[in-house]
Amino acid sequence: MDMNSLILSPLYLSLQLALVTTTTLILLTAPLAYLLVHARFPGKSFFEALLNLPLALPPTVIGFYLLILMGPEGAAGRTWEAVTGSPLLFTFTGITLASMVYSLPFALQPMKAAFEKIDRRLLESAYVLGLTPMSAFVKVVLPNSLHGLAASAILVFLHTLGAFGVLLIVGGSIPGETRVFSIAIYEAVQSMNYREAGILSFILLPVGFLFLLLVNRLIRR
Amino acid sequence: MGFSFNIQKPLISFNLDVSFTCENSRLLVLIGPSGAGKTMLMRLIAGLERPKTGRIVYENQIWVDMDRCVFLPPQSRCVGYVFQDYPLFPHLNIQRNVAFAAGSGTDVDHLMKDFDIWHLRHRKPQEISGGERQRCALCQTLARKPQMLLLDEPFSALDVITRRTLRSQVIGLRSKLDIPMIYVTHDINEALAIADDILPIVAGKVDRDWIQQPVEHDERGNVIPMKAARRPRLSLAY
Repeated sequence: MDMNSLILSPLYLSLQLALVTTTTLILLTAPLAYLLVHARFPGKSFFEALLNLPLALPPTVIGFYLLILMGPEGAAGRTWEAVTGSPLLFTFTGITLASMVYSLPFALQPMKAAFEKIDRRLLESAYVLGLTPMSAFVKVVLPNSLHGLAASAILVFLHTLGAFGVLLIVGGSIPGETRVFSIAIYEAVQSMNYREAGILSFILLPVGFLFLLLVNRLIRR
Repeated sequence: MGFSFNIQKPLISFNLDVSFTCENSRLLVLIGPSGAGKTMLMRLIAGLERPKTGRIVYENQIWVDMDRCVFLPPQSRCVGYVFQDYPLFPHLNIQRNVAFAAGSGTDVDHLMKDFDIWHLRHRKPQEISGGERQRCALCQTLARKPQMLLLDEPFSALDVITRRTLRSQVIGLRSKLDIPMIYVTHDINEALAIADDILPIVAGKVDRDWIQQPVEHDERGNVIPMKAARRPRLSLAY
């Protein structure tokens, strides 16, 4: 195997997956987390538990349900295929969706914590000063929870880099499409190629460590 | 014209039931012991709380009419509301804080110089003193050109000298702005120093006995706020 398909292709794919997942998830969960902090509606605790379910289930269980849901007979898979003409399973889009579900609680929790920390009176004075709840969110809440957003982003990024079971079930191992770093390592180990597995693993070590140091600094602020 | 308030709201330990009016350019002081419902009253005017029944009308604008399910949100009332330990926006410097909701044509720089905070314009709220922060809060509120000013113990946490300076600035505002102003305090001396009218609130009701004054009613039976200037020798009655 050459250097490109051995290291660069899975590394590039993993980074691409982590980046897309992080960006989309942060954009989607920021309003959701805000809603969970401030809105009161029936079934809220049920809804919140559902969103945090990926935290409590083994990745293979999440992967299995997603496989059913995203398959040609599943609701998500069928709709996607009807709209775009291509399947969800064993594609980059498929594993992106799967890793978004898998990392949802990791995006939600730090953001929720950051939004909860914001002084309620700050929001009230924003309203009295004429801001709608939407513009107060953009002009007051978001600028004052940047550390929470950053912590969310880093956690999701790392969690996606480390995702394995879910991605293997939903995406398989198609080089250049779904064969991400963690799967490449698994396959190297399976074929007793410890040198290859060692090189791949060693690359992730400092990345994870560095990001965690950053998260710690952000949380302490 | 001016401002009229007639609101009922059940609270945990008593029912708030207060009605009064306040004309433009008048400074009405609400006085009473802690927990009497004064702050709740201010929050009701600002639109941060919903009453159970009643009406709030300013000029010919109905802010609240619970019988007709009218409730104007705080955004639409254009009220200035400053309270004790007012939180300025921590991510903005003082100048941006003051200009945050400035109306068109407001001279923010001039306002800041007037209130002696111009030299602090590049600082963050957490880098200035309590008195400076309250001055900044007042500027932020005034920059919006409010049609009514609510001050809820705005200077209680400050030292005597700063408090006196800021109080005289508030008195100065009364003649400059042609709007109703309501000031909450539990300090009778402060009330006497600044009030046009005084309204004592105890346990959610207007209670003249609290400052040993007879209750006066107008021809419709509404309580008339007493004229502080006419009654300079008020005393507390415990």
